[in-house]
Amino acid sequence: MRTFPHKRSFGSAIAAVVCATALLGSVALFGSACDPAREFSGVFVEDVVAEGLNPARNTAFRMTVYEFADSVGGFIEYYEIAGLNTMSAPYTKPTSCAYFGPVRRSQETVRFDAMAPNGTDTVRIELDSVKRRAIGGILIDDGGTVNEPGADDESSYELYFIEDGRRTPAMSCPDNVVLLGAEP
Amino acid sequence: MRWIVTVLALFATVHLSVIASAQSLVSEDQQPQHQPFRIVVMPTLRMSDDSTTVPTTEMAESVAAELESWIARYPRAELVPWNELLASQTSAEALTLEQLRLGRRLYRAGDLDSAEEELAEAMQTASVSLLPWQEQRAMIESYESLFLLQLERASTAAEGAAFRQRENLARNAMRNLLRLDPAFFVDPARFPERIVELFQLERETASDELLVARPYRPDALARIVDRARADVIVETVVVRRGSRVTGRVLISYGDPLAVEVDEAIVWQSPDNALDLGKEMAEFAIDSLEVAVVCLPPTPIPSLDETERRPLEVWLGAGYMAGVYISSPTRARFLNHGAAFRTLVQFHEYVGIQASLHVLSSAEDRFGDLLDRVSTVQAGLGPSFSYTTGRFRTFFEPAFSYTQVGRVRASEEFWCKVSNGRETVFDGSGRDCSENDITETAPQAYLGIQLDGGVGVRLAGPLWLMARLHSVLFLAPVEGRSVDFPLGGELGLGLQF
Repeated sequence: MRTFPHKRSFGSAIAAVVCATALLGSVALFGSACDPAREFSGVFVEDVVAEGLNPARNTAFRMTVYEFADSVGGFIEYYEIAGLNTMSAPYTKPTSCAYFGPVRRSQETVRFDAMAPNGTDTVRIELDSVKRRAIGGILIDDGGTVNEPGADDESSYELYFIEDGRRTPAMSCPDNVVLLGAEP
Repeated sequence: MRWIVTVLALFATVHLSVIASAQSLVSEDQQPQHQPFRIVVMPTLRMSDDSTTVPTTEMAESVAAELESWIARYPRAELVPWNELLASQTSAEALTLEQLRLGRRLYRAGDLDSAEEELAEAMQTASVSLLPWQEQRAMIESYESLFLLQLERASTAAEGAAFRQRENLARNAMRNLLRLDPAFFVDPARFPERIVELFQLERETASDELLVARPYRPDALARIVDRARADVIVETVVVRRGSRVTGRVLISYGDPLAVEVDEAIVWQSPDNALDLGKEMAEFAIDSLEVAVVCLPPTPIPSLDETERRPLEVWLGAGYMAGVYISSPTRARFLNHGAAFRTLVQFHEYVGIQASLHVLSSAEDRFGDLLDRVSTVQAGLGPSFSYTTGRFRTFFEPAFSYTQVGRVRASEEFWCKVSNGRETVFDGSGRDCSENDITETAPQAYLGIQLDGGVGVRLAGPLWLMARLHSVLFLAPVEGRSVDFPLGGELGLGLQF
């Protein structure tokens, strides 16, 4: 291409090169500095509006999840469907609470166990750690037998969680509830 | 006494005049050599499939007139006057012209062999020169002679390869002839019907070609660009086929005009054919405006040494972002904030500068930082810079004082959940105790600050500055809560 007849000094060319180099350097620097801090906290509730609470259920779950780097932990609050807690509005007064984690996230999903509401079984939840939502069902380990979601068993439920963006995650289980798994 | 005063006054006046003239010459010489954008508008090629309906010259002239009017108004563009371009003739062109005359004379004298030799050679040279526009009549007559000569030889040639070769040469001459004289026609009274039909067919082919092919030969255009020192060539073509009039505009630049900037094809019915010229001109102007905008902006003149004040003061402020290494966790953390600086330049390349950074950080990659870390940094030192035109590069080493606030960090998951508050969650090991938290008190550091970067003058005294910033901490030698700061700053500077 023909060069337009504008005078360009050698110094301008040098300055342009230095400018471009500095710009690229800055981008690389900030790129490394802005390596996303894997820090997340959120509250997940069961999708009772869309799915409705399973009539066989007598407890609704609410999870508070914390994630720092590759570690995930938090707690689950259990709401027994009775009194103020109804099938359509279950999250009024928590009954019990159990901590879980921290577990290491090795892949996009992370699986963790927490004490079930009855204080003996285990709740297993799978969380999509990238999309920040609970994707898996929930298993109730009934006396050591792991039931897959959807199995024809009363102790097996398949649940769906959605993030409740309106709630600020609490730091710990609420007071005045039964703390499951706690040492006496 | 009076004459002494008069002589002295006269001497002083002359002396001052000489100085003023010299200064004006120097200052003119020091002005940036901003040359305008040179545009050549080629004569519009006109052609028709019928010699009686050739597009009017008014239409072609309206395209040129509109373009010239725009170029005259646009301060960064300059029209290369076509007449001036054609005014000078090289010795080679004069020689070629003489050779053309000789060829025509030989043809009229009936010496077909010599005439063909002279004409073919001269036409080859002339086609890449300015002769087709400088000596249009001579060129038309020469092409006509060559065309008729080839026809005569074709009529006597035996059918076969020799005939086809003559026919092709005749066609070639005819095409060049039509480009110069679109109204030219073969008189049916003088030539057999077959020749007339051949000519008509060639006229149609030639007009078709003008709608798709390059109107002018690139080597001829390259010659014009070279002679006119042109940046852009505008070529326009108007072709009439039956009831349709088609206009074509090509804007090209580059060397050897291989790069085509833009092309438009528009067509109209003959009723409003004059509007076609305006439409073509509008398109050409739009394209030229784009091309002109894409040119580098007018260079801002560099500060002349004589204009430089003894002391120049610069003030600047900007946004800074960077990384530190946190000593408790050895993790990088991002901080950002504001930077303020002052520079007093007492020499073309040297000055003294002071800076202040106020930065804050709340996040690191692993979430180990429990509280925001605030940093205040002050620097004082020399500034070395080089300014040319609108660009400036600088290097600023400085003595640095840094005050880093309290740093609290923990690698324990539950301490991160509790934001560093001592908490027992469920008594099964999920807790945050005092031992899990690393804390360092606010610290003051001394070190050497190393800054470097570039600036671009945006307008007047306003500069856009970009810099890389780092500090080498020297004291305290051990126990530093943060280390290895590295940051980038983008800000504005004002030069007084």
